[in-house]
Amino acid sequence: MDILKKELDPDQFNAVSNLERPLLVLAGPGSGKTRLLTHRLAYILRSQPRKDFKVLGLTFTNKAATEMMERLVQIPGYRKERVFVGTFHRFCQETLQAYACYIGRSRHFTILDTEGQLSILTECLAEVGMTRVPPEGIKNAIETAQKRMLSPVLYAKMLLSRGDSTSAAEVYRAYEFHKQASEVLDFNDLILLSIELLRSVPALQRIYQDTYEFVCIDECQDTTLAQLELTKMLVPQGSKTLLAVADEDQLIFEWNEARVENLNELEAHYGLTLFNLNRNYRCPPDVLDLANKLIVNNKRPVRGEEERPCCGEIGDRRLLYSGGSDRRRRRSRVRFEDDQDTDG
Amino acid sequence: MYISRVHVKNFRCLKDVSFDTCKTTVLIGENNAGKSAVLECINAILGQLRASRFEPKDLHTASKEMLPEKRDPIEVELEFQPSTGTAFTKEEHEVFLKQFDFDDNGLERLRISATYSYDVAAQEFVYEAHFQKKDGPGDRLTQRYTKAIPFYLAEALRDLGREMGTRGGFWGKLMDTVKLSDASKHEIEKLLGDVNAEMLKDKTLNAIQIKLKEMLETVMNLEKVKEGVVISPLAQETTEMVRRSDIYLKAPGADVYFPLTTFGMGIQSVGVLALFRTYVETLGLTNAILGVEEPEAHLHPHLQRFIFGELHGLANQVFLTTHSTFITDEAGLYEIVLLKRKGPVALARQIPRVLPSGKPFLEKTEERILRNYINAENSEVFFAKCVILAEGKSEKLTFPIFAKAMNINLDQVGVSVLPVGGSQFRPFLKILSPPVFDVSCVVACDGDAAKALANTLESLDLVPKDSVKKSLQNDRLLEDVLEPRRCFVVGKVGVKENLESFLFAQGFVAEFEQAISDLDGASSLDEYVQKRDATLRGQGKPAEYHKLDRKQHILDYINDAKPRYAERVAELMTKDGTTDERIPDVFKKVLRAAEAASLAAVKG
Repeated sequence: MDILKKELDPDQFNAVSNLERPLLVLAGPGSGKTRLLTHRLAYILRSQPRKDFKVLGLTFTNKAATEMMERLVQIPGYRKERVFVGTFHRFCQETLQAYACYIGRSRHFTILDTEGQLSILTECLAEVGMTRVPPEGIKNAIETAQKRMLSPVLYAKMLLSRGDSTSAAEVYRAYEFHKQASEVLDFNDLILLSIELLRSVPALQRIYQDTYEFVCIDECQDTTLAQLELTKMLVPQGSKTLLAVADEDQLIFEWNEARVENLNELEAHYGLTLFNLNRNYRCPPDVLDLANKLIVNNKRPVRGEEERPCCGEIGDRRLLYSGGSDRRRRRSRVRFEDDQDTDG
Repeated sequence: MYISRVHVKNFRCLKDVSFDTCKTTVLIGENNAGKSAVLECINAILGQLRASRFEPKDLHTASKEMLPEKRDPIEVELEFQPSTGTAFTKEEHEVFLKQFDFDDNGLERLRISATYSYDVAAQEFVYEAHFQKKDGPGDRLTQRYTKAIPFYLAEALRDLGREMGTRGGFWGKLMDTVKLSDASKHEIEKLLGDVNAEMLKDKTLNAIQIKLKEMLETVMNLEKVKEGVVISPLAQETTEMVRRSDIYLKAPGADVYFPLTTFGMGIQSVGVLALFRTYVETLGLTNAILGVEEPEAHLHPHLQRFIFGELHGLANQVFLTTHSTFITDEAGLYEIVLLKRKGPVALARQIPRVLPSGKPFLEKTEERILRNYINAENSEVFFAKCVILAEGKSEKLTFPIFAKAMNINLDQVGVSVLPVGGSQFRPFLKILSPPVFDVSCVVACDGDAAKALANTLESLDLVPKDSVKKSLQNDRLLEDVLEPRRCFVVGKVGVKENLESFLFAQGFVAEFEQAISDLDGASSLDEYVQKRDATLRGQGKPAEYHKLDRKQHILDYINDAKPRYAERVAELMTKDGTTDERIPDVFKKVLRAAEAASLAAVKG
């Protein structure tokens, strides 16, 4: 405990050691999110004498997972067999490798890379006579549908309701068929099938909930609808130990169907208590100042707070939301975040 | 969690044996029927202490000629279910996170498959064990998993000395869990040093030490060091000392404590079981599974029942083998698994809880009847090759005498007589017939119960459909239905008669009179007649009981306590089992049929 107090500032320590209620830690860039998560996991390992639990640290990028693991192994009290730290995709991959057969799928699937996806899609486009359409375009459309948890049928309905042609949904259907026949899964399947699995085998959902009593999720601002659903399956409502970390100003995966609504839903579903981390340990004050000036221009405030991050001193920051294109432009100028790999 | 089903193929005499198991499973059967093989097979997969793994000689074969390399592989499947309810515990979920299997109802279970086979390419025998899922294997069964479901086998020859003496035993493992504080270690080691020094003041011990020292110094070419060799009567290290701890027991009535290992086999045997219990409780091994061979060994009946009660009451799953009726009597009907040998192959039989239709196999009343009548005295039926089902105790007492007179030794051929308490043959036929225990049955029933018995046979599919109706039309119930199924009627079909009244009617009046005289005294019959008259007089009626026929007096007299006289009558009829001339045919038929069935069972 003393080590923790030495290594963490009081805010971080409170977030790390609070196992009384579910938390949403809002942290600005460079405020020590990874350190906080690492210490949280280590704190749980040390403070829970029972043997029968594991901690689950879910991240959005392999890089974040690796970084967390590198720090975690150095912390006293770390026990390999009690920890799973990895991306949502990795976690789902392992789950399906163990249990996909109980929803009629093969456990010995191969994961498609982009090239593989495009090659299947080229075939599918040919099958439905859409040879002129570039596979890249249809790939994006299908992935958007997947992340919104739309099946080919629902996707067709949505297209119809908008008065659009349903041919994209037909390609989507053919694509699903091809993948299943050749026992391959794309990245979105990993999440979607895991949700299906936990829904169809309730006993399995209980097994996972029993095992992972403590769940931490990094970069929650990047949660897609599918990932939100998976979280709901894994963490029972009423959990007192869920810890989600987010930076609303960094919806870096918005093009990946992450939406701030998902974060709001997560917050509402679990009744998350907000927790602000204020100090920035990474950027010099002038950079932060510039960032804050830019954030002020954001159009839709979410939290309605009027504070800004400060540098290693007490203070709050402003949490604002703006439309996608604006923010993307902003991010291109002020980039704190270095997690750019999206391969899961 | 506990093992809920065992399926063994090609392990020693277990060619293809499967059975359901309970929290306590009682394996019974004749010697060499494969009881121990079941325990040793589980031990080879999950065993933790001194577990011997599969060996080429374990491969089942019908002929010695066949090389082990050519024999079929050993295949074992163990299924585990949650101890309570439908879900495993949180800890079990954590340990076996990715290894679960789900049945058709989505209920969780664990399945382990183990094989032992000859790998032709590698030219060696290979053992492989893994979890089993719907579509194939899961992870390999590593130590991490077997440690969570450890199996401990206490063999028939339980040797407390072995458990106490070596580090591989329960005691050593138990003592390894003792962790003394550094301060206390330091203090004890100092004291030990003092005690050792004190003992070395002994002249002889000191002289030995000096001699050893000189010799070793020469041999090892050491410089002369003052303390080069030390004899240490006591261990110098606390860990060593703890490990060498012994258990002492005060014998009843004595003032002296003796090491537990010096007591008789019975106490030692109990000692091993006590050690196991302490071991699993100290280490918190709630999922440990215990296999005990013959817990009754060397124990008197009360202690047998006590030990079984202890094993039954453990939180852990227990598999035991037994030849003791004191134990089978205490065991639940569904806990008993009967292993039978048919030629070179062993088969497992048990009472199913439910039928494939989902209905219970035994109705509640049938369960109750069986529990009432299969008590310690009668539970030997599970060990029998053939059972004679009879209505009452008279048969139980007289049949062995008749058999002796017919030169049949019922014990030698393995025949038990089971009184069913009236004519409730149904539940007994149900559990003794194939596919349950498959023990041959011979029935001796009274005339008035014959028709009901025939209907029972038909309803249990032991005789063809409608055969009862047909035979009744032709008045051939006995010939066409009952006797071909080894069911014999004492007296006439449809007439109420029991063994006593039957013998009486057969004319053994003098024998009954003699029996009364032998058992109750020569004057007892006369006194009985006077008493009856006195009762009549008291009721203001004419005291004319004595005027009745002598035969009636005897009949009334014996009606009070039939079985007592039947046994003596049988002895008198057969001149103490030396002649079968006067034994009524029906009993001869019953006993000959039982003998034949029993001999047929041996042949398989």
